[in-house]
Amino acid sequence: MNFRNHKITRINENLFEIERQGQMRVNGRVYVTESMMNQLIKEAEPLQQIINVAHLPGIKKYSLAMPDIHWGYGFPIGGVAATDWNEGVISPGGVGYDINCGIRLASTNLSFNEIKEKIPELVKQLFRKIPTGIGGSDAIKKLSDTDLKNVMTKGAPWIIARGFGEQQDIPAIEESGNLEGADPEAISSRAKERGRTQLGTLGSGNHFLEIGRVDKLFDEETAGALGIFNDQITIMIHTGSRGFGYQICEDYLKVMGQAARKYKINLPDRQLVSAPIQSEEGRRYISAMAGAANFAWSNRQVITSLAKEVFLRVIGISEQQLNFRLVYDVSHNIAKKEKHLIDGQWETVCVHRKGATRAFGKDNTTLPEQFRKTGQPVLIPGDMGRYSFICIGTQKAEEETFGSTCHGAGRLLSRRQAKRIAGHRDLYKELADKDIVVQARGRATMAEEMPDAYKDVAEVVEIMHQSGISKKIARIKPLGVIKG
Amino acid sequence: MMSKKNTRFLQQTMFKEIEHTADRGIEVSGNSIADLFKNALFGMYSLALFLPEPLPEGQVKVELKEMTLEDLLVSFLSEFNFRLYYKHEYCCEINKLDIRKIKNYYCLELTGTYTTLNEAALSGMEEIKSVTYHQMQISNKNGTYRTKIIFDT
Repeated sequence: MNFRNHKITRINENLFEIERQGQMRVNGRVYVTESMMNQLIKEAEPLQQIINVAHLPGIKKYSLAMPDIHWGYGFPIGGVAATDWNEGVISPGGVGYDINCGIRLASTNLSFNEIKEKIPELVKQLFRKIPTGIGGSDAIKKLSDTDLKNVMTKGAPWIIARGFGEQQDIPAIEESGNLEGADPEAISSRAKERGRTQLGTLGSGNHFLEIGRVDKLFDEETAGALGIFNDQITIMIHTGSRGFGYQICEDYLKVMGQAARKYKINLPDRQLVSAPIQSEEGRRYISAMAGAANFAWSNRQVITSLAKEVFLRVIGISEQQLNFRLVYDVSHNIAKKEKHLIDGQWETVCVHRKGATRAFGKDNTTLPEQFRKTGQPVLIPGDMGRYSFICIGTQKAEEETFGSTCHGAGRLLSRRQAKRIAGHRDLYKELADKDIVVQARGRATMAEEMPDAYKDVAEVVEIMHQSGISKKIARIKPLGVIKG
Repeated sequence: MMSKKNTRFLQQTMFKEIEHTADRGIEVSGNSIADLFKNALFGMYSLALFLPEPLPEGQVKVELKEMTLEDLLVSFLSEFNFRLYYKHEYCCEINKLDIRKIKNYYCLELTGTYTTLNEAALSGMEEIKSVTYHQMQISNKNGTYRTKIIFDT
């Protein structure tokens, strides 16, 4: 099989390799089925983006893509690339506009039958409590300059110390909710202005908060170790760094455009602009990105805390009875300094994960003690009408994909197509018929985000499961959803 | 295809929405660079909201400087995107839009008037997170300037 001038070789059932040509520095690799690969060849743009990423100076091993690959900006969504920490570059296009967009999952002691009558009220109160949609703001008191600086530099642990969560949440957040090296001086005043009122807000688009019910266990032992049981009520949150992160990305795309000219880095796509990691521009972006990452973890932490308050109030039980507990929080838009074994040598690299989730396996010493026996939880959301998955990272992921896996379903329909197809359908009723209560800010959101607009996430998760990259642990079905 | 939105500016603009799987985009044209920029701005507005009647409330003045026209267009739209979402202002009238190359830079000067969005306009607004460089390439064929603009939504 061929794509443009590149030979594509099938490595195994679910893995294809794109041959290096021209100025590419490494081969490309994509985890998909044969039919998905044929579709990608037709679409062209996502495969071209894997090829473009392979041009980045200092890239190691492969330009990788996960099975939820689709057209992004610079990197494809689902793209992973590791660049040499000393000789390589960092690219904001490998992180995305919504820096540290991610997923978190909290569990409760409740089972479905105990709260099924209260789902509509829970959804209503969650929608009231947590600002959604454009410019959603003021979930908590407007941050002072000092508060914002603390959020940027100290992340989730600081916001937890302010009463939004428990100390035990900290190890259940990737990087313990604080990416080191954040420098407020590297962040524009406009970004700060955009972020100041947005902590604890969900935003719009595909972001959501979902009450779910564990409906299937694939690995009871690991599920048990994570505190997950059948029929359990869970809360899943998908959001990121809001306008704060978008502005930082925008600011640095401009800076990196100038840096690329200065350092004579020629790349096939303007959105891939990058600077050497060790340059002034590269270091400043990393510091600003860390600030946005810390903002995003704090944002999800505040939302979790607000959701817990609503659960306690609506259900009318004690904290002990509810046992609201953070299972894990993963980022799927980030670049991080990590050590990986490359050709038999431990090397320090910058792993860009753009619409991809870290998936470290058991015995990884960078994981908190509680996950070293199981591996790191990986949270893969689907659409609001079907299901999401809890998976676990593996050592094979560390060997093959710089410890990375997929992040979601990926869109099937454009937003315009979705609106056309939704037409005059009553999507609220359709979902209610499946016992799913939804509250969304606008009709457009419902149409754009309807289940038919997304691919089946089970297919994506299955490919990574069969490849041994991330293993399925449990499936969660939605019961109540709030959206922007 | 012209936008069906109801402002006097949009009646003069030349843009059409293009398909994009995850986000949204427009293809825009103009008889001059300034015309292209103006049409791009109102194209972006038309994706974001149903514009209220233009009731000028205050003056808007923007000055920008970038090394390429594409950089200038992204900065220009990003500026008004910020004003729209965070100040709830939309530029309802452009009195002057001057774009010229001075040494190594493209310089833009705009003066116009803005309207503050009311609650109804705000509630129906759709989010544009950012203006991207994706597929943006300003071309000139027989005096007509064109480009695609993809917005991260």
